[in-house]
Amino acid sequence: MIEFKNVTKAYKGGKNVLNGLNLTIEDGEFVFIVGDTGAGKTTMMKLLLCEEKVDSGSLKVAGFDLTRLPSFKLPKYRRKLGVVFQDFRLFPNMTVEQNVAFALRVVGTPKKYIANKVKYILKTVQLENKHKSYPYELSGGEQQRVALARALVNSPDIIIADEPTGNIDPDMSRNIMDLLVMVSNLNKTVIVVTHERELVSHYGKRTVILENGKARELYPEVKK
Amino acid sequence: MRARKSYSPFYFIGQAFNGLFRNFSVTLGAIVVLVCCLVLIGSFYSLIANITENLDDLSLMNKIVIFLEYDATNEDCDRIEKEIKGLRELGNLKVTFVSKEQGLEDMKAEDPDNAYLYESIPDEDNPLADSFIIEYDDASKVQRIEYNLRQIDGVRKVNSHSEIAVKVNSFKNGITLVFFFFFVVLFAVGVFVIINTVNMTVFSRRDEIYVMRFVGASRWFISLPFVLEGIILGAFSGGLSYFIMKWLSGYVVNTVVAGLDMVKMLPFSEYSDIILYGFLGIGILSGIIGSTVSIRRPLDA
Repeated sequence: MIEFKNVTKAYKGGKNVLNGLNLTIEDGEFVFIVGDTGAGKTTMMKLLLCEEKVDSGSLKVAGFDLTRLPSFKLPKYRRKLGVVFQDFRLFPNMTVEQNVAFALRVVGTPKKYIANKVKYILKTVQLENKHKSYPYELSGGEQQRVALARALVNSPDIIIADEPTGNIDPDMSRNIMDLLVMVSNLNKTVIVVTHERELVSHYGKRTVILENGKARELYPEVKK
Repeated sequence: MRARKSYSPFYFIGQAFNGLFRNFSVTLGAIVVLVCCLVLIGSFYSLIANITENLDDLSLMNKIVIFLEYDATNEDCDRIEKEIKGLRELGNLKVTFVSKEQGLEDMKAEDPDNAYLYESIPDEDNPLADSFIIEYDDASKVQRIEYNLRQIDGVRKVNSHSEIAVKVNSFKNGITLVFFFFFVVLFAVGVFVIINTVNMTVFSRRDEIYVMRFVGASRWFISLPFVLEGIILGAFSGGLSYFIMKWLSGYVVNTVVAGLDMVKMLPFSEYSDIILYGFLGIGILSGIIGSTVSIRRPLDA
């Protein structure tokens, strides 16, 4: 479960970006976070990723109290998360399977398990035939699927996708979103930060609008 | 059940060498600067060791001679010797008794051309007095030693070179202070150079570090290749500096000092262990400090 309770956050010399944010996301939920520029989406992501600390209030994620998380527990916490970046953050000198295996290697997964896990996850994101390709040989949508595979391969409980469709064409956007919905159906919490209202309304999932540093619920109609 | 974690040491070592070769010109520059710093530190150390050795060779520098009353008896000599040895708080004192007969023999030996003059003196007319030679190891206490010796009953005269000893001692202290200052400055330069070198690697691997942090790699896993890089850089520079120092020392002994009879130069082997372990220690330490500083910021960002 993710629980923001009266969270405030301001940067040096600026006004409050988050201003008493209250939000609860249950395990296995799929949630869109939308909002205008400066509404606090990025700050909210940074708090969830523990890049920033809250100024006041409390933030609990997957049993971790992020307001008083010691730095030595940070890696353990982050293993509960799978992060998908807008700009993919793939390594150009590594093949698809090496990019995905990287996430396993750096957390100390024994070598004998790596190949099977990578194969399985690439099949899940429908990239099993491109495992030897380099990122520059792939389309934007395919690169984002590699990034998603890398986020999923350590079996995190929560997937955080920051504008995952921001750099890809609309058809591929649907494909990525379908994959994220599928992941959510595996009882994983999925949080998607986006400004693409059309996608949000298409999927009819729970939507949280950030306005003036506070959360407001929106349940869009599902487009048939 | 979760599989046990497994990390290959070859990964860390491989990454460290990758880092060194990735920015080869920067690495090479760092080695040159580090070697210069270490050779300068070593040269200073060598200079101090040689100055100390040459000063210590001035035999009177750490000796005081006391002369007893002319009519001192054997009992007086024993009592005075005990009293001198009792001055333990003034450091380690080595006391040697020289009888007036021995004193005369020594004078003959030192002045063989006039030995016949000494031989003409009958034993009962020996103009010398019994004496003690006191050797001390702590030159800073020489004036206190001298004062205490003067207070002993039966001591007629105290011959010492305390003023020179004090001056030499303060000279040695001054050189040591200058050495220490240079050591700190050069060590700081070494650390700074390693920070810059590792910073280059950190910069070229910033995306990797970013992703590693968000997939849950531990701090030590991310840091270790960079720390190893610093250690390898420091240790290699230390080793190289040792051989340069060895060659340099041999060159100075064989060419510069060879023609100077007054100056005695310590052979390199006398202090080679200190130089080797010192260089490796300084190199590795600056490597650890430099790389730890470099990696801290991207880890905390």
